[in-house]
Amino acid sequence: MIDQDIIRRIYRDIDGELDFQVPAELKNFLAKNPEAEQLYRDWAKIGEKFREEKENFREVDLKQQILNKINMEKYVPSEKISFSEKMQQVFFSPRFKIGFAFVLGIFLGIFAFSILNQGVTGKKLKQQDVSGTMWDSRSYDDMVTADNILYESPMAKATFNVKYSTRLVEAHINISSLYPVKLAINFDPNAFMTFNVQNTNVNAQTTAMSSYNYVEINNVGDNQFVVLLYNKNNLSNKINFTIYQNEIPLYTNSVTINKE
Amino acid sequence: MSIQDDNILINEVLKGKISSFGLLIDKYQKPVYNLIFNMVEDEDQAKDIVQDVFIKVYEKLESFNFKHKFFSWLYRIAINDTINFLKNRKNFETLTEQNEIQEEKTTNDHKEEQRRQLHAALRELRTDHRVLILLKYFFGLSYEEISDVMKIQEKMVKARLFMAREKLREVLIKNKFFEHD
Repeated sequence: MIDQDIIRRIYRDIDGELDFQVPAELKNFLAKNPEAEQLYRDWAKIGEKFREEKENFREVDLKQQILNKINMEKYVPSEKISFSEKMQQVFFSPRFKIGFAFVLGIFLGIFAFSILNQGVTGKKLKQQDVSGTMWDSRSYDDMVTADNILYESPMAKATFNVKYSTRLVEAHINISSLYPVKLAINFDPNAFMTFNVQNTNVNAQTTAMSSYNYVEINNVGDNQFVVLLYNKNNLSNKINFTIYQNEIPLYTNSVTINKE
Repeated sequence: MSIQDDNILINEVLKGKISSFGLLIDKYQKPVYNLIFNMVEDEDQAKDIVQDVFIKVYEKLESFNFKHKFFSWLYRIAINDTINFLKNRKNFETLTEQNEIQEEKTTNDHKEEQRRQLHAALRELRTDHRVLILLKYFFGLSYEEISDVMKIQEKMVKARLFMAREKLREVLIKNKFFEHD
């Protein structure tokens, strides 16, 4: 019976784990112990056979089969980009630009509406408080009424609705005649100046002409005009309306603007 | 090619360089195949297992711990897969072995006869003993490396290997492998 410790030392020797001194000592022991020596020789032979086996490893080439079966996409690198690059991508993307323009438009719209809304819903001011502002451009309905004149005869029919503000005089004129008549509007050029004559509903036979200090309308049929005069000085002044037929006055009247 | 080289190749594979995995296959397919072949004793089955092992290694590569050696990890996967395969094949194993032994006995070559006897003796060992012998003598792994592959303590490796050797010699003596019998 061989000592287990000796067997272990034999194995260690065969495995090449012992240093140079020990095998000599071991071999001395083996020389005196035939059973242990036989074990040593047996394992030396087994070791030799295994080495032969190792040298005769079978060749194999399975590389292509393996590569064909694996999922090549599994480790496809994800492109790592820095935070600043990511931000640049976001800010310069068409989606962001459109979104930004949309939001900016909304804010500008709200801002503009809030400003304009103040003008619409703001407190109404007195005339003297808004002198020299755009108040003059307010609507006809908000102007001060100077007079509403009605003339009616077999030859002609006319209405003169005259309103004024600090800078404008606006006369809405409806005139109707079966035969040609002439309407002459005269005023002091120091007080008023012709600004505009609008033919709101005028037929082809009717004409209107104006100069800095008068307006002349040659009328046939039913027509409507809006005459705008520049109100120069806010002093009390008159505008004269005269209707002629064949240069013969049929009707004359006047409207006082800037009444005190 | 060193362990550091293996780690470089693994890192390259993880970055999407598939050719580096090809290099790992080139390096390890032969020892892995021979390890598996010496356990299953069937060329086609060994090739199938080798392919499965490398595919599994590729799939699990991102979980590889760089503190360990790649070949230890690879061999462990190969051994575990082969043991699982052998368990499933258990019912057919005896018949297969008998057929192979019958065929091999026809050879007259002394060297080949000894080789056959060695493999026959290995087949008679328990699977874990057979693996230990293969790792130690076929692949020349140290006790520490075997410990890493088998995930058992080094002193346990030594104890089991001692028993495996004793058993192997016993079988070889029984099969008249040695001339002194």
